[in-house]
Amino acid sequence: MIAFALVKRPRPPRALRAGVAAASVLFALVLGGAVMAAIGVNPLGAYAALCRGAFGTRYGLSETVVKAVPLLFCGLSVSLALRMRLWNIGAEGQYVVGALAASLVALGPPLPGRAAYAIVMLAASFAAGAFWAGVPGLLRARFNVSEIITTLLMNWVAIHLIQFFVYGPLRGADGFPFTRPFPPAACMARLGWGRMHAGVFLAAGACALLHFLLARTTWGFEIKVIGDSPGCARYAGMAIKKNIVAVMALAGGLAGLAGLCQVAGVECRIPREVFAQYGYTAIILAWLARAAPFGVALVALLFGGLLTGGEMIQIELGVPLSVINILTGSILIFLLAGDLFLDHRVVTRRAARGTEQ
Amino acid sequence: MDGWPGFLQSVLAAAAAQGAPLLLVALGEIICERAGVLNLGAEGMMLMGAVCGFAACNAGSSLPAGAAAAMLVGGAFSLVHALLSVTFRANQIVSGLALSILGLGLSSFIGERLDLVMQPAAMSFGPIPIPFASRIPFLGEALFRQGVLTYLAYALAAAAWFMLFRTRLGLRIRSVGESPLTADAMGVSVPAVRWLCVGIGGVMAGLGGACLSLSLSPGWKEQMTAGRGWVAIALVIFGNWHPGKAALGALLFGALYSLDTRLQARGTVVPVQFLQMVPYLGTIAFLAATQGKAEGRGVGAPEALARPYIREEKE
Repeated sequence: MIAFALVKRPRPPRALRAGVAAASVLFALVLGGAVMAAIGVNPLGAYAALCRGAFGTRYGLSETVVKAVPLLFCGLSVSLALRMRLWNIGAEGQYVVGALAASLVALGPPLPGRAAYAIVMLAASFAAGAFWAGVPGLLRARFNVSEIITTLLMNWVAIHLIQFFVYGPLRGADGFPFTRPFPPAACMARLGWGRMHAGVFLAAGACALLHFLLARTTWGFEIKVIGDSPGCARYAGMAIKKNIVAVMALAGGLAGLAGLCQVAGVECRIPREVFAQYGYTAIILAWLARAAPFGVALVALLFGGLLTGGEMIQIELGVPLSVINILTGSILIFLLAGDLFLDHRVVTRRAARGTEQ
Repeated sequence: MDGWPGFLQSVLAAAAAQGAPLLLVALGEIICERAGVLNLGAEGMMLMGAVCGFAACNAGSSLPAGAAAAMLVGGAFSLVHALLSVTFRANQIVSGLALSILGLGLSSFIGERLDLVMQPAAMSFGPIPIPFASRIPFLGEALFRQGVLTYLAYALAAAAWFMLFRTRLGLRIRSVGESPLTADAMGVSVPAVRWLCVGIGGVMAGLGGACLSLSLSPGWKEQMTAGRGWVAIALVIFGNWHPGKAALGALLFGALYSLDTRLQARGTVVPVQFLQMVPYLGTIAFLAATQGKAEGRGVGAPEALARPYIREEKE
């Protein structure tokens, strides 16, 4: 028997990175296929229907993009925090309060014209998301409280908060548990292609801006240094605590804009189920894209397609949507397992001994 | 008893019961983290335990079968984390999160396939008054009329303390968590101890889930843990990685969960949704209070927590 050993390598080749990502998606598809086969659905037929539903038709494609918008914002949010080795597990909650803040403006006293609505709603949802993540950021900076736990717990606070408004002050006149529709001036312009809305440009702009910030500015460099080497950052006199709060707030604001796009762009009111787990999917997205903004955009489109196609095969073939959740969750697990092969070379024991000498 | 004494008594009784699932999960997490492995998959393992425990109990009409199934499934599910974080040396934070996300999807899938939402609980762990003790005025009446799993949770806290601080195995676990290099040199197998502890954590989290679906609120619904797995992880930090302090903390965190129904029963003007926020906001406040104090004088976190150990490789 040949014994294998792992030898650490400093920098994995680019092609291998892409290969591992593709392989983990493939393994997850096989696992998801096995689940489908177990409930009596032909996996190949289901995946074909999924692809057709997501990318094969004009309407399907527009739905894929519509779903990719909140995913992109949330993915950018998690990625930004990740650049500083901070964990924003609360994109879901920030998304919810962003949606709520935009709705409170839309359903509040009337504003003069579309532009006024757009600006105030944008500011409100960004501020709400920024506050929701800024508090955990402040607690981390001031008291060293793990932002992983606090951002996650804030999700549940946000869900109860929006339920209070949807079942209470903002409840529609017909008694159903969703809000009154927004006035037309408070809804985003549609682009005349399915439910595609102006938020698509907003998301693309945010993605490009974040890329610029991270790759081309001193601040982007600073947060990378703080994340990778706090000791070095302290020695260089960088404001670590201030940046923790700033990065968390900006990340929260981005996730808040996801909520804005959903309520003002797609629904034009708060729907019954605003809670769509975009925030959790965003963690997978960010890890898959290695926290690179354009990579996140690409993966967001892929996952948007997965959700759109998933809804399609739920209707057509009766495959429950939770299968898609199992699929996305297992992508992350296979990806993590693949990391071992990125950071290490697999060699035979004899060869390993050779490199040591 | 009426008025405030009666209210306090009912809060205390509910706090002990609500604290039990948190404590079960937290004890498992303490053992796991003491061995140097952070497992953020508690929520996912709890969800899996809750759904499988309930399904097995209804299918076999047996409470022990339900609890056993929950422990088995929780333990098996946790081994994914052991494989990724111990053997594959993956990032423990992401690996745990993956477990939570996967547990969410998988538990919903199982629950939907078996139509568990529609099913009433065939049976549940009812309160068992302890002879004599349950007749002690106030305290006894509150604390000694609980379900079996509640007594078990607090008893296991004592057992976990004994195991960690008074046995050879406990010493090994702690040495692996504090300094794996030293433990390895002393002949302790770091991977074996870590696999074992992750597994124990999974079994306990599974039982914690069953404590919800078979004892505290019999039945199943999607996402029924509602963040309790995360509160349990907060409880570990609050309890400074010590089973005894975690047991006291469980009463405190449990009280947060019991407040909303107790206050509603008294007819408060505060909307119910705000009362439901109390456990989450309270947990954050507790963490901020204790962590803030601990800053600068060395917190009780194991030295090698969340760091993969690789023989032959330096950090």
